[in-house]
Amino acid sequence: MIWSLNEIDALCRKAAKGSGLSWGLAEEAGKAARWLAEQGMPGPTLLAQLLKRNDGTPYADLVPSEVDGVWTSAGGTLCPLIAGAALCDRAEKIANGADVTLARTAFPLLLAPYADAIARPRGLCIALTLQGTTLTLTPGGLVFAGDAVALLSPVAKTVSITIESQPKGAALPIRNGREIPPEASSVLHAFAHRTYAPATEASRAAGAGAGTSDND
Amino acid sequence: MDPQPDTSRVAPRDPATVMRLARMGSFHQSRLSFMRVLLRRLKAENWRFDRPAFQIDDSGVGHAIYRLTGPTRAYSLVAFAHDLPPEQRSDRVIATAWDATFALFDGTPTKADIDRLSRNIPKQEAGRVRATELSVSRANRSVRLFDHVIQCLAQGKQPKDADVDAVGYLMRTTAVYGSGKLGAADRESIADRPEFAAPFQAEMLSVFLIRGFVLDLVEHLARVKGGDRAVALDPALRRRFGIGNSTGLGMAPFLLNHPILLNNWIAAREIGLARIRSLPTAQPQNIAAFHDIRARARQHIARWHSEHPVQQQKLAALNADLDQLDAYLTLHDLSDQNPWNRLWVWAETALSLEGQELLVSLLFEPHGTLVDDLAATMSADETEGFRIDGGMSIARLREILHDIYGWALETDWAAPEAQALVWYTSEEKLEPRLGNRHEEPVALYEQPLCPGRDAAALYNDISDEPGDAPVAAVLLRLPQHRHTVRRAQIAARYPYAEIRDNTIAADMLPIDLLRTKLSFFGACHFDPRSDRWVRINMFRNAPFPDELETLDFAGWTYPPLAGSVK
Repeated sequence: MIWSLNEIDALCRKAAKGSGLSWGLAEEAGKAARWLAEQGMPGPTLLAQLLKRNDGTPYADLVPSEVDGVWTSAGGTLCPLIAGAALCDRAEKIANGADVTLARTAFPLLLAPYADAIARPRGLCIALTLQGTTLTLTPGGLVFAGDAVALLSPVAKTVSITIESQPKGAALPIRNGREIPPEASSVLHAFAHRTYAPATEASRAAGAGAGTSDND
Repeated sequence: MDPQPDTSRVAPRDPATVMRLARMGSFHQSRLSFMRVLLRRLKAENWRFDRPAFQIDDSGVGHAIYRLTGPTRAYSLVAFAHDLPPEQRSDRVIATAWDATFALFDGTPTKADIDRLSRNIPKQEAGRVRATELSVSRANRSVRLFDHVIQCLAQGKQPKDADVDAVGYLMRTTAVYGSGKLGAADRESIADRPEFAAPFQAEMLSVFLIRGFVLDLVEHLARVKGGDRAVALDPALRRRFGIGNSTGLGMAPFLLNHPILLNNWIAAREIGLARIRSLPTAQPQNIAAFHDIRARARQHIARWHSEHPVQQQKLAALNADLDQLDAYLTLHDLSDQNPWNRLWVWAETALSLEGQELLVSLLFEPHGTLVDDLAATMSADETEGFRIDGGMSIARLREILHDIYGWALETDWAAPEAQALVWYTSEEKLEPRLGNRHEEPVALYEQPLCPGRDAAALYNDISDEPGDAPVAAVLLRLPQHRHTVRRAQIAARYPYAEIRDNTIAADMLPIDLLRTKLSFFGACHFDPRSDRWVRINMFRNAPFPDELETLDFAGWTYPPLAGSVK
């Protein structure tokens, strides 16, 4: 099924919240999935896989801390949503040339929307390099060099984030990012479902505040 | 030529005054309302109307196409009329069948499009549309009036004014979906078209065409019933019918979820008011136009009925306000210096909130040249406020919290009535609901729709942080406050972004949130059915699509005075 970007944003936001992230981080997860879908990349699918992987993992195990210039997490694998938001919060430092290296990171492509949010408004190019493949966010769009499949990998040993003056590479192969496979959409719906309150007699009776009949 | 306002004289009103729910719940439609903006554009650009299809059978079932063609594009309302048994007629968003269902199509639909839409639109949420559709909606008949009008016309008679005014519409919409809903086009994909530059133009266009269809449908059914004896509605009486709408909690969170948009709506209105208040003198023709619209507004208010005690009280106060305004104007001929500001300053203490906010709308009417351009500033790109400034110091964040949420920092949030309500989404209906925190197990599912309470919690949790610490470091430790920090930073940049009231208090009235939004749409005759559900009228007294070219309809919301030639 083809989704509107609005629907992708809303479902992914609710799913991220349902997985245990805070509302603020969930809002950014929704925007990240939407952005990837808009670029023709499987943002919602990657998000679904990430939420499954991290389901039940406490925030404290996922949150990055910096040791000797490298971001690591207590649990051993960084969450790209939490790390991505933290990168955005440090946008000025990164834009001023402070390179960042992330240790082992799950679904690294989910970092791209956050890197774009740093790069685009400042007219910069920012490169994400993982396993020999480089994805560069430029004000004119995305380019990549290396193995496109690596971008979709469930985990990268390291991801380096650098300002690039002369991005090299080719445009990404375009596909329909708004098409969400049924497996992914059912995972997202299941997580979103956790944010819905079970009906009670009181809620059924109150409804949205209307009467039941429209015959007047 | 109008004297130019010296806007250094009068600043826009303080957000702490404007952004209170009781005041926002007293807003009225104005020249800046989206229906008014739409019809001005259709007229100015000479949009042409036609009806490529009206295939409705004698039982009132079939489809029709209503098309408006502008300078570069055409839009078509595809209407499906159904035969709905009375027991299935429900206003609620969760209904599954309606008297009529609609799609606004981008361009002119082919037969294949109509076939596809006929399989999806009648099912509404259970169907699926594409990016060629800009809006999906449905409507139910007013049982009181629909059959009565058919009966009258079939017998060759016009319905009585009083019967028409008692309801005001033949059908009411129960949902008008836009912007990416059910697979429809995302707002971003059409926002660069001039006709959609102002907010909600596609949705308003849809409702405008629905009204034309519904009146045609009634006249068609009267002809079926009465044959040669049947008559059409008298054109002036016909314009007294609007389209009703019934809205509940589903719409309430919108203003909280779109802070920059809310700011831009309110800011446009406040800047318009400040410009008029800054005028050094009043032009005689503007004084005359103000007196005219004031008289028309009286008629408009006289046709506003509600059975809800809160609204009845507000209407009584509003009528008293109009008397007061008459008295003021017999003593002041507005020929002195700064007459509009003098009037305004008087009104701030003399009139109720309903009256003050109606006066804003009335002051706008003669001053289109000072107000209408502001419509172009009312859209918003919420992503502009999305990124958090992590470099901001905690000291600065505290300052913002004091400034915007000062009322919340002084609220005793431990008091049961302060947090009595919970906004949540129900599993059964997937719609926003309000529950009672102290009586239902819903707090776990709370949506972030109480900025005041959350700002106070944030303020409390950062009380021990050093003032020079960056927000970024604190947010890494306290991710639960990320949403609120974002809001606070938005509110610091957009003065009218945040409501300065407790949206989960025991005595909070959701209808205030609904009315705020609906008044910006251009809705009138707010008729609350409970404290969380309101019926309204849209496009009442407006021209019909085929009258845009020939009719002069300035100030159309206010009924023309008896004896005046339109």
